[in-house]
Amino acid sequence: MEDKGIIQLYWDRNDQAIKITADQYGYYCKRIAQNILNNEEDAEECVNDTYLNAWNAMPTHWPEQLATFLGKITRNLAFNRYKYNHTQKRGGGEITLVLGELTDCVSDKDDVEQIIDRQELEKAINLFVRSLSTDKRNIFVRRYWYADSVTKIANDNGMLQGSVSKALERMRKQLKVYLTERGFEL
Amino acid sequence: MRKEDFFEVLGELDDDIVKGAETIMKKKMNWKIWGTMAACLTLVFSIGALFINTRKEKDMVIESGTTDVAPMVYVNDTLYKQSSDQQGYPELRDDFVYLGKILSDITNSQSGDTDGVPKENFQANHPIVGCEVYQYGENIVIKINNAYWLYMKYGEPEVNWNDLLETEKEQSDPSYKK
Repeated sequence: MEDKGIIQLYWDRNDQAIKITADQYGYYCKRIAQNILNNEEDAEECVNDTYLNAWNAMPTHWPEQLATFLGKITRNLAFNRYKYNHTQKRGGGEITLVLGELTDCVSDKDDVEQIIDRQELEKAINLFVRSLSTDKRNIFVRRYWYADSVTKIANDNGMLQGSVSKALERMRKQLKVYLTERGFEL
Repeated sequence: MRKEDFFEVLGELDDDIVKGAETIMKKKMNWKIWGTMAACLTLVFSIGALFINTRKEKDMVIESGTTDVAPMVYVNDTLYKQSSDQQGYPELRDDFVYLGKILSDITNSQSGDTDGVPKENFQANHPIVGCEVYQYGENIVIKINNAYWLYMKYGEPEVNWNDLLETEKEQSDPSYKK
């Protein structure tokens, strides 16, 4: 079924919407949750919560892209679960590595004095990512949005793991410079 | 900013950027899947072709019928079959009577419709053209590689030499001594 039809089912409060969403996007959401949580059971729960959140959001929201709409919900839920698990000293996996890499871009300290315009920061990051070549953008998004492993990205792109790691490292440094030049001291 | 917060900010990338990476990945994955399937199919067909060829070769050998038939010669309108216990004599004996040489081999026949049994005089069904043929009693011997190999009259019940009575051995082989 096309996305419009699925969204319409949500708007009609037809519970078939969840079944069809699970059939068409269950694997996609599960992959995101699994990358972040590294735990089958927690990932499955996040995916089920994603359907519930989607049910509650529609209406009044009509997503432009159903896949990324669902993916973003899953990513947020999974990351919240990760943070909870992390304080309980549970979890780990790929997300720990991803977060470690992001310290190239941020200080990883709570800076209460600096007020950051979050929306402006999001815009700047979007512009930076758009400025990348298609291949590099793909690698960046796969790593820092989907939290895919370097191995998986390398395999899917026919690259060596070392090449992917190098490319990511270069992009993190470029992003740091890009944001600093625009006044974001992170 | 804490790295966890930055990860959340990155989660707000525009939909088309996120979708774009996923689409590229799917395309590449599809290529990989189809590529793998194609490679598997090629392998299966290759093995299948090899198997069929092997079967064909086997069938051809069986159909030719020449290798499954015992070594035989046709001499003086009589068919002889090599003795099953490969009995032979190292030297020419006085009682061997020279008859001639093997003239043809049906395995080289161009007609291809042979049943593996020689039918013309001094014809064999194995590559012994030019070998000398000697009559020995009611059987024949053929000189192959400096030894004389016994060919017994075809159709006669083949009796093992060791199973013969002493009198029968004397009758069969005049040079036999107790």
